[in-house]
Amino acid sequence: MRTRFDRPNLGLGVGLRTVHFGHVLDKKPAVDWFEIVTENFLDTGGRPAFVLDQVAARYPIVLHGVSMSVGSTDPIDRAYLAKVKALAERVRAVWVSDHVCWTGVAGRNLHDLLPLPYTEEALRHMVRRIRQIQDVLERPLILENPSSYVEFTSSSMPEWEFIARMAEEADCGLLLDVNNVYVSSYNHGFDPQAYVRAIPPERIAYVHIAGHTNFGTHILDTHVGPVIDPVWKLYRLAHRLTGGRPTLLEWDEEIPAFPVVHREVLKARKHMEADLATA
Amino acid sequence: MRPPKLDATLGWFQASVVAPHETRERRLAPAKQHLLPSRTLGPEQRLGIYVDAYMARLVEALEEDFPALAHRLGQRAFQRTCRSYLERHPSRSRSLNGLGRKLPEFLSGRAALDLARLEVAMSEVFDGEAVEPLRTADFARLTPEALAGARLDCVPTLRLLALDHDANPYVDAVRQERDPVPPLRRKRSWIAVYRKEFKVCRLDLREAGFDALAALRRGRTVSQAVAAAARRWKGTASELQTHIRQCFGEWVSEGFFARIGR
Repeated sequence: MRTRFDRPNLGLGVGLRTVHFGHVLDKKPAVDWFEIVTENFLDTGGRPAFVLDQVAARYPIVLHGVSMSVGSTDPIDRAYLAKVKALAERVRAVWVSDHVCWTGVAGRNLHDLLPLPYTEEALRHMVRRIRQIQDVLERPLILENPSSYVEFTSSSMPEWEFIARMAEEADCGLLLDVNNVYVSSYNHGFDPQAYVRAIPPERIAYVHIAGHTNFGTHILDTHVGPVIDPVWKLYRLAHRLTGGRPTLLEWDEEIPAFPVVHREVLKARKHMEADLATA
Repeated sequence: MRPPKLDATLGWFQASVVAPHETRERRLAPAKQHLLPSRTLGPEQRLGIYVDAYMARLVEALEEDFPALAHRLGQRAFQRTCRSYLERHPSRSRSLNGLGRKLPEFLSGRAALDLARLEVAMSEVFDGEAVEPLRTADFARLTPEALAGARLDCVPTLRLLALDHDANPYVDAVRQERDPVPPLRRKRSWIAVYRKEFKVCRLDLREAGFDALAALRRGRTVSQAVAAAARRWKGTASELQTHIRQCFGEWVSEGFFARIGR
């Protein structure tokens, strides 16, 4: 049965970054789709807006926000949502996504994806706000599982249960970031495969892959370097469970030339084939 | 025991992340009251990851917008300045674009202030609304009398700055990573910051030209703008006429004007 999150597969995409603007406009690389960081294009009438319009004319675009602050206890910022909605309409965005997190309270923005306690109260709060946001956007919201570095003493359920219940009760989609699953599993000591198996596959709209930085005591989700094998292993599992979803590579530090980034996401094909061979 | 309310937990977490960067004394519950240890890190250390990331991210954003100011102050002083600035002006925006807009108000040294004002103008111009500028042909239709009485609306991506330092060469050298960077000379300078084909450009002006352009931006007519220039001009009337004609041609070709009003 098809769900509203099971749309024609966009294929393998790359996060659009400023350093690649020139290459993307000039070379028109054979990338299946681009994801943009929403906030980088909201309040600008300059080159980013111009480049985005050119890119959107040629490639499917997904908006990926970092400031919707769905988990915050501040009032929902309707002016911000109106801008997101307008941008999504302008570029005919396939999806609008953000994170299961908050970025500030009391009017402040810390510009970080801050962790939530996984409590019944937080779950009800998220569900209520996601429904409100979807009503404003008039489209499903897709939320990504975050990387996190702390666990709250007050949490009463594991993250995967929180996210699965949240998606079902709010009727939203999920962006499964398998690198984030790996990072958090390392930091908190849980089984990453159990996490992926607990996420309702029919709600997964697309998948993120990325590199990270391992400090020994913990891993930071830096989006640097190639994807490591244990993350590819989770990707293969997600591929098997979902039957294949659009896949996006994030690379945000020490960003190499565009062809290097593109080659990295194309490795996903090999892993999809390997998964089919072992199925 | 009932778990703490969500708003209390988030409020504690935010306060604990920003408190180490601020001078204000706060009494906060210890991390172990809200956070679990991992197999390798204690609650305070885990919280510390967010504490460090918070300031690093915002300083990095400010450094991207103010490379010349950071160079002038030096890394440690720049970071100290950012920290104090962010305590006074914490981000309340969804975007980092405008984070440093009030930074000039926060600086005391004239040299640093001039660099910051110039770099703020560059950021504003980068993000400003795109408007199709008037071209030379648009002015060709006007009689000299009509032009003299016309008011010209400037494009939103034009900023005019009168500075006490010759900031342009310094900013150029830092942004182009040239070594050595020339000294920041104390010298009155007048600069137009604008955008052309989505590139941020800077044009050094003479004082008379600056005054004329500033008058146009305030809604004065072209003839009133010329009169403003004349008040500063030390040469002959014919030299002023030549200068204004050259300036005007350059301003039009660089796309400074958006509309001819009455």
